[in-house]
Amino acid sequence: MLAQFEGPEELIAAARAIREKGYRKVEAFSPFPVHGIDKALAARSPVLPWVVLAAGLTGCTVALLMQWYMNATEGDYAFAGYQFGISGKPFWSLPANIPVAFELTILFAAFTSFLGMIAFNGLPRFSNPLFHHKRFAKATNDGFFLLIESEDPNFSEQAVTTAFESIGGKHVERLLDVPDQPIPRPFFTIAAIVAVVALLPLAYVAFARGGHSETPRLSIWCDMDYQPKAKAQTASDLFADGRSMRLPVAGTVARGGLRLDPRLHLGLEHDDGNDAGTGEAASAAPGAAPSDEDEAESPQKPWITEFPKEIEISQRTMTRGQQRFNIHCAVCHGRAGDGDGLVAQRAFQLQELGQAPAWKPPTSLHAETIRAQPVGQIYNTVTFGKLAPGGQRIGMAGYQEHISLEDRWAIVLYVKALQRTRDAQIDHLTEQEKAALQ
Amino acid sequence: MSQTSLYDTWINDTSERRKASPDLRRIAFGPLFGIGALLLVGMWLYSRGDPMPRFWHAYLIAVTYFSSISLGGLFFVVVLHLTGAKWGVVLRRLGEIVSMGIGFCGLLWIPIWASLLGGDGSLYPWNTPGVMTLGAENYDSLLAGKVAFLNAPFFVGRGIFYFLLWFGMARYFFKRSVSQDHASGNGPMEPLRWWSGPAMLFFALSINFASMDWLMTLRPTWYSTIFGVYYFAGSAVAIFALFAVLVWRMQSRGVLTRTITVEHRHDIGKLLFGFTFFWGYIAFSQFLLIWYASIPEEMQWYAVRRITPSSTGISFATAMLFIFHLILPFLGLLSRHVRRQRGILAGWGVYMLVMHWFDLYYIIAPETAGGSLQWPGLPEIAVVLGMGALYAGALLWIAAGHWLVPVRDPWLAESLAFENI
Ligand code: HEC
Repeated sequence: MLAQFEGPEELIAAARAIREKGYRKVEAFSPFPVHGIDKALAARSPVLPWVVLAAGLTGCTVALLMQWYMNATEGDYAFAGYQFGISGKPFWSLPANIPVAFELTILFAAFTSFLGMIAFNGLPRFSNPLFHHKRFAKATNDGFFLLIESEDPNFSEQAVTTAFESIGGKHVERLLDVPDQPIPRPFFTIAAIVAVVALLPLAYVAFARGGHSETPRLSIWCDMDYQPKAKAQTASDLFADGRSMRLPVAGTVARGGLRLDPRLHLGLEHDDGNDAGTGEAASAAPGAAPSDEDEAESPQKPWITEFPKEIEISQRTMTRGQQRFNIHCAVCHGRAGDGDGLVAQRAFQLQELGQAPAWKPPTSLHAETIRAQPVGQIYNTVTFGKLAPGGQRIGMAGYQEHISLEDRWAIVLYVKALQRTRDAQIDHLTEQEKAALQ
Repeated sequence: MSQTSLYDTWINDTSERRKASPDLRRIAFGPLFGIGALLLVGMWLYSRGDPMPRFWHAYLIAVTYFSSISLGGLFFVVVLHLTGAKWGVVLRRLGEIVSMGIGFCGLLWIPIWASLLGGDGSLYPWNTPGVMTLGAENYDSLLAGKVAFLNAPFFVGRGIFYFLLWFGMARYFFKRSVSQDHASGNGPMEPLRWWSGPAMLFFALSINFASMDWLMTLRPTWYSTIFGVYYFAGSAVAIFALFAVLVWRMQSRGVLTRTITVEHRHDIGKLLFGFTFFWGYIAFSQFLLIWYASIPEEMQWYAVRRITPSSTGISFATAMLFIFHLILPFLGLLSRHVRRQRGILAGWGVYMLVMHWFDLYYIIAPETAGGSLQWPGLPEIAVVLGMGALYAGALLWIAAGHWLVPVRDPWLAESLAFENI
């Protein structure tokens, strides 16, 4: 049964009155939210806020876990995360994760309240008996209505009509619930066609991935594609010396560029003033006899024979060194260090076909000379490389830009362990280990 | 009950007190001022031996604290007129009284201004003699570049200008609102609606510049463009926290018990909640950008306000501030039931007032305390309590003899009948 009322205040009064008469299944309709109507109808406090709170917390947790898993874990398993250093921040750094956590909290909460609202209201429904009622359309304009459903225990048409009229309800009318009509067949056909058509762009994208195109791509934001800026390693007439890249101001040190400890940074007992060790600077030094012989080069330097104290000798460092070695060195030196990595193999092939001029094969790390090298020297090779003297860049390049200091030392540790695998003596073991072997 | 009949019953209801007694000036003002002055002077004598001007730091923290509360009050009054919000009419007079306190805060600045004009640089380093003179031993070229803006006469002049502007606005809105209490038509109220627009603009600009002057130039080589908003967010938190406490205090003494209903308190709670989060949003934005870029000239500010553990002072101070000024009250004020309980809401109000003070402590204290953030000590706490007594005395002086609710406001009936849900 539906009845219309004058305005918002009358609606609230009527709602209160009708509840006092014992009706429970009462619903109110108004063109705008009427403050106080919930109290008048004694509406149960909704569960939705709790659901939304749970969703918000879930969003927050999901966001944090997702970022932790994606950026702070890495391992040897399927779908592993990938530790990607961004801006020099730690892989797991809370401040950077908060914006995502904040957004996902809101996203989850907002979607849940929207969908929950729909679900809790029993939507979507294709039809509602109220829609067949002419006068009810005013509920979106200037009509205020109360409805009592026939499920109400006190319901009887006569009683409700008198009740409504006694509290000032106008146009009291009965509504009949019309069962939902089945959805007409053509709808399904149309929906199927729309679904197929919607897939076409995706299919085209999937198809185009394998194709080639002769036409250059369209440039929508020209000023972004072609910016008036100097790119790295290019010339520029803006500066007198014609370089686009500027040299550091005299007397300044780049961040992290302070290398004061010769043991840690150079692998030397004391700085001999020639910090590039056996590498690039040595090859540029005038007067150095061009020679391929390792021994024939500059006199033996004061290499350190023990690891610097800053480097922790542990299983963790070893594992790290192994991982870094396999990433950076194994391509040339091979996983076992025999100098037969993929790059080396390919170079041999090319050489046999006569297509690889001046090429120096990677040294086997198990060679007698290399095995005899102190840790400082190997560290120095990793850091500054080993280029043949004479300016031709033949040999091995330095890795100081690519691998962090700690990782370079970790690699040295691993190389030492690799060498030991070919040369283990019984006296390298402790008494305990010997006992365990027997 | 319809609004008009509700209003009629309210008008004839005599079960609550609605007017501040004129005796307040006599009863409350004297003792409060006595206690306040005693504490301040005592602390000044007590900390004279300190190497740093610790007392004046504590003083600056307290002045900016109470200024921010009054500015929050001004914001509340202006924004009610600007938006034509009707729910808050019953609270507007309280806001007006608090905003009038800004004049008193201006007076509190006089000693600082005087010391600046006297060439004292212990509080504001840019005022140290020599730093801006080429050739002097302690010449600092970075500071010298800012001499046009950072010099004592201009700084003091700006300060006086801000306070005149604020006091002028607060007084205009207060006086008109009070004369409406005795008017027959709506005459006095009418121009307020129009003036609220320009007033909001002036307010936004002036609080921005004032907070930069007062707080940012304590470290003149550091700058953050969002700083004004940060200070504003704190003041908005402060005013709603104060409302929560005030309403509880007054109602437990039989004042406005019927006028301010659970619905109004609910809204105070919502706004407190909202602005607490707003503060967090702004504070975090400022932090994130600086932390991410990690440029020394920006990072210096956070470097002393420890993000990481520290051996001296408060470890993780910045993180703590986020947890206790944002996360905890966020969770605490999230529920509607909390906001509708007078006592609990007042508890959170006290808590946020303390946290807001700590926020200012966090901004000001490390700038001289040997470059690290120490725990507050006796001078800081005693000075804020002493100045609090003076400030409360001033507010009671202003309130004395006035209606505590705009009794003839055209929207009062709607405000009384206001319901949230
Ligand atoms: C691009 C291929 C390549 C990669 C990658 C590479 N090397 Fe080399 N490495 C060489 C070549 C070539 C030589 C021989 C240089 C020479 O003797 O002139 C060499 C020489 C060496 C030597 C002997 C130096 C000496 O004193 O004779 C060591 C030790 C060494 N590499 C270690 C490493 C380590 C550790 C890594 C990983 C960080 C690595 N290399 C990565 C190509 C490579």
